Amino acid sequence: MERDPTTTIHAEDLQAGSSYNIPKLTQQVFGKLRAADEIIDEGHFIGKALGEGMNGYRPIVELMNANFGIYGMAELSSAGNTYATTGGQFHMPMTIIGAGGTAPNQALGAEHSQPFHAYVMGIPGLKICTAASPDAAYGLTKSMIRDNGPGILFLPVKMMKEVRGSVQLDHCLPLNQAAVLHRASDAAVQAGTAVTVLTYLHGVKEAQNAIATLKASRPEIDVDLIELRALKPLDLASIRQSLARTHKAVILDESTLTGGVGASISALVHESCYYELDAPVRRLCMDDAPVPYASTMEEAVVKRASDLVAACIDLVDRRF
Amino acid sequence: MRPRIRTPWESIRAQLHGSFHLTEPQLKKYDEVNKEDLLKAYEMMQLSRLFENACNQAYMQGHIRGFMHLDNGQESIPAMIADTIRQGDIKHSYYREHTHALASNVSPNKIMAELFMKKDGTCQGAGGSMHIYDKEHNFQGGWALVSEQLPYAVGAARSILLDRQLYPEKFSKDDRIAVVFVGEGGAQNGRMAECLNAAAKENLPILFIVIDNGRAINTFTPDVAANNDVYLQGLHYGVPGVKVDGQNLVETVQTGRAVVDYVRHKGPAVLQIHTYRFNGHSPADPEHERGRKDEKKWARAEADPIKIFEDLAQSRGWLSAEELEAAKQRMQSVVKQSVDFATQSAFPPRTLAKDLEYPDAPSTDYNQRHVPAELAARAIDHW
Repeated sequence: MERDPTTTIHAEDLQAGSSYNIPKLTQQVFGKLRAADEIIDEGHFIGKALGEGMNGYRPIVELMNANFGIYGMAELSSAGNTYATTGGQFHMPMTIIGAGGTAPNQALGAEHSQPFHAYVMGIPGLKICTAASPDAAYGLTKSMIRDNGPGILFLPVKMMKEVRGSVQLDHCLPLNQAAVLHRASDAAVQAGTAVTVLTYLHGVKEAQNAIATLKASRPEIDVDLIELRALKPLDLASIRQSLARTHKAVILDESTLTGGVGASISALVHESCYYELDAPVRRLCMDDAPVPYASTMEEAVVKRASDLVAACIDLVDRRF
Repeated sequence: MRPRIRTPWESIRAQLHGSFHLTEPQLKKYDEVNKEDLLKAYEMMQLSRLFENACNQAYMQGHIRGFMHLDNGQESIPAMIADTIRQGDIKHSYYREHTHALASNVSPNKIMAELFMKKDGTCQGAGGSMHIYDKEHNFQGGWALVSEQLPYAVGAARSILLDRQLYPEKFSKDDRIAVVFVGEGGAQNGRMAECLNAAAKENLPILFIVIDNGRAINTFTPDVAANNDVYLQGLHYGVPGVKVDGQNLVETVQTGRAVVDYVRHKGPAVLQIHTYRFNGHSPADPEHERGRKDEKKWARAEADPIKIFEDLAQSRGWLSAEELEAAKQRMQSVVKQSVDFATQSAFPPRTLAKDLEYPDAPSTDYNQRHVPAELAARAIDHW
């Protein structure tokens, strides 16, 4: 917002810093017109952002929780349509960021645990990214703000306050690339005991825990951990590169069986990497059920590190 | 049956004084509309009527497909827009917007070509009847979901204030406004309340034009709306409003001028225009609205703003029959030209949808994106 005076920001509780201090001090620095506090209706302020975006400004919208974006589905859809439906006349440089999704023991109840990232996958014109670390969030947000179309960046609620790290200042990350967070050893690849794990948001933490567990219990099994920072468009090249080594893939997916992100990814991987696969892609996804409050119920619905460990072992032991 | 309302200028004047606090010297400016302006307004009514009739014909011939919503009966509104709204003003409309685009000086050729799905259309054929956009004339849609245009227009109004803040020297005398069109049915949507609130809270230069034809698609609006005086919705937020008889062109122009000037210099306002829709919701929708057949028959005969004005203009000696006929002929040839243009234009290529997916390719390196020097300089000034 310092660099580009055409940027604006909209959020509920903006003056109070919203949920994670993302808009902290923006109003004091940039004034009420550029940094606007909002009434509680995401459709209303995503709509206003659309109007600003059509008229030379770069609106940033923070969702207090990504789930609340549901109120703005119509406006988000129209934002996605704007460039194409106007025959290319109007850019729509809108950036939406929000922490949402779910995690084991999050206990936020059904309406704060929905996979909004899955709901918006099909919106044309929308670039969709995820970040599970400060450097990813920083670099992707910078790019999305500069991008002339609408983009939405999802962040994991439970990791917002616990993950720390350094960022590369002034550096923009590409919006179409996955991040390889862990590479299986050449030994594991040669032994055929390496697995590709595709995940995003909280799944990154679960996968890192799973890798540690596997090291202890089944040390011959190793993992290519690919964080899907770009959900749309998907970075199939990185996936293909990894499958050429492992020939086995698991998706740890923070969305539902039906219509989820994992479903799209699985279809794309099967269609384009079929001959690299020794087994069908294993999809660990949420059941088609509202995320329950009680942790004992939630264990079945929301897949986690323990499920990932079991899936990797199954694939290596050829149980599929 | 839905009778016409009567809003003689004296009664509007009193409301402009009471609700908008216009003074006597200010009100005097709107007492008369000169002959030249009346003729231009009449031309715009004819252009609208003839254009919409040509669309109807083209639709029946299969050149225009899908949904198409015609403005017949409501022509005083584009006439008032053409009279009061400028190129720099930002216009947001709904799906019955052909005439609003015409009134905003969008090329009739390009509008008709868009309807004919041709690549010389306003949106290269990607949009269609409900999605007319023209960047040069700040005609920003053409939106299909009822009331979605309301917050977009509020954002546009904010952008006007943002411009004044960002380029103070360039916009020191800026009096642009945002204009948004909505039906009296659409105005029952919660978006209307939110947008009146937003307009009031930030004192935005936005005019809400409520096109009150008593029909929300096929529903008789009073069957579902507790209060049909949408112009009074603003009272809760301190936004003044007024209602005028849209079948009287002169009163509509007078009132429009006063309210538009108010928005240019004071703050947001609501202008409710009581009118009639001569056709069904669209040719694609069955016309089984309760009680509509009689109402339509009556309205076409007794509430046609074009005929009413022709009679009035001639009886008052403002315009002669020849002048009126000549104006109609001029507009007839403009409309014919637009149909010829659309017919001769080519269809867009198959690949266009994919080409228009993103303005920036996914592989773009945003590190190479720089803020133009002129803007960057203003960033420093902000501190």
